[in-house]
Amino acid sequence: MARLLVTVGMGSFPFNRLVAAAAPLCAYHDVFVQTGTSPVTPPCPHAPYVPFDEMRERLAEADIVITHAGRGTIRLVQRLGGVPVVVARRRALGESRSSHQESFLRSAEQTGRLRAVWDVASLPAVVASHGETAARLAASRPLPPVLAPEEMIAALDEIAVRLRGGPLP
Amino acid sequence: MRVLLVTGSGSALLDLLAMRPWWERYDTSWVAVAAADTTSALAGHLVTWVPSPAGPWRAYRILRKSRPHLVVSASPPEALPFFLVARLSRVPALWIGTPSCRAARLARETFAGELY
Repeated sequence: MARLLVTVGMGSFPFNRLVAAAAPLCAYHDVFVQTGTSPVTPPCPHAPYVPFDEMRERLAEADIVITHAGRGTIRLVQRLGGVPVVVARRRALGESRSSHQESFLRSAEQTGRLRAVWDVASLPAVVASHGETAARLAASRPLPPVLAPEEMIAALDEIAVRLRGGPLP
Repeated sequence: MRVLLVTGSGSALLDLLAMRPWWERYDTSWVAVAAADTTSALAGHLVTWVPSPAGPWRAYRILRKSRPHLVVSASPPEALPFFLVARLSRVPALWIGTPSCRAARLARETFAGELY
C-alpha cells in the first residue's frame, strides 16, 4: 500500500477523467484526491481545494503524486526528489481552456523527469511499476538548477533598469 | 519603484512568489484572481481581486490608481488586458515565462529563468 496524492490543480475547469480514474486505486492504496471543480468524487478522502501550505506538505508526504500537467506541481514534486505521474488536460474534452497541457507534456516526456500517462485506464499498472521507472528517470534525467536569489535579483534589476531607461525610482 | 504583480492560480503564482527576494525590495501591489491558492498565499499583501480575466477597462482603472513603474505577470489570460493597457500607457511590462505566447508579445521584455 502506497500513499498516493492525486491533484487536478487550482484552476476552474473540472478534470473528471483523472478523478474517476483514481477511484480504482482507492481500494489498494492510501489515496487523497484534490478534485477542484470536478463533480465526480472518488471513494476515498478528497477535497475540492487544499490551502497552499497543506498542499506542499501533502506533496512531500506522498510516495507517488499523480497530477494534471501543471508546471507548478510537476516542479514542486521534482524538487522534492519525486518523479510525478502526469496526465494532460485535454481541450477537446472540456478539461482546459487551451491545449497547452497536451503540447507541454508531449515535449516534457521526452527529456523531463516525469512519467506521462495518456490512457488513464493504465494508472493502476503505472502505480504498480512506478518505483522502478521513477528510479531510472531520476538517475538519467537531471533537473535544471534553481537560480540563486542574488542572480535572480541582478538579472531582474538589469531588465528593470533597461525598461525604465535609467536608474530605478 | 512601484511594481504591479498580476496573477492567476497555479504555476504563475508560484513564479511570482519565487521572485519575492527581488520584488520585496520595491513598493509592490498585486492584482489577483481569487482562488484557493491565491487567497491563502497572498494573505497580508496589498491585493486588488478581479474576476478572471479582468477586462481592459478594469485593467485601465487599476493601472491608473496604482501608477506602477513596471507591470509583471506570468499568467497568460490575466496578463493580456494589463499588458495591453500598459503598452498604450507606456508603462513597461515584463513577462515571466516562455517567449512564445501572446502576452509575451505585448510585453517589453521576457524573463525565463528557473525560479523554483
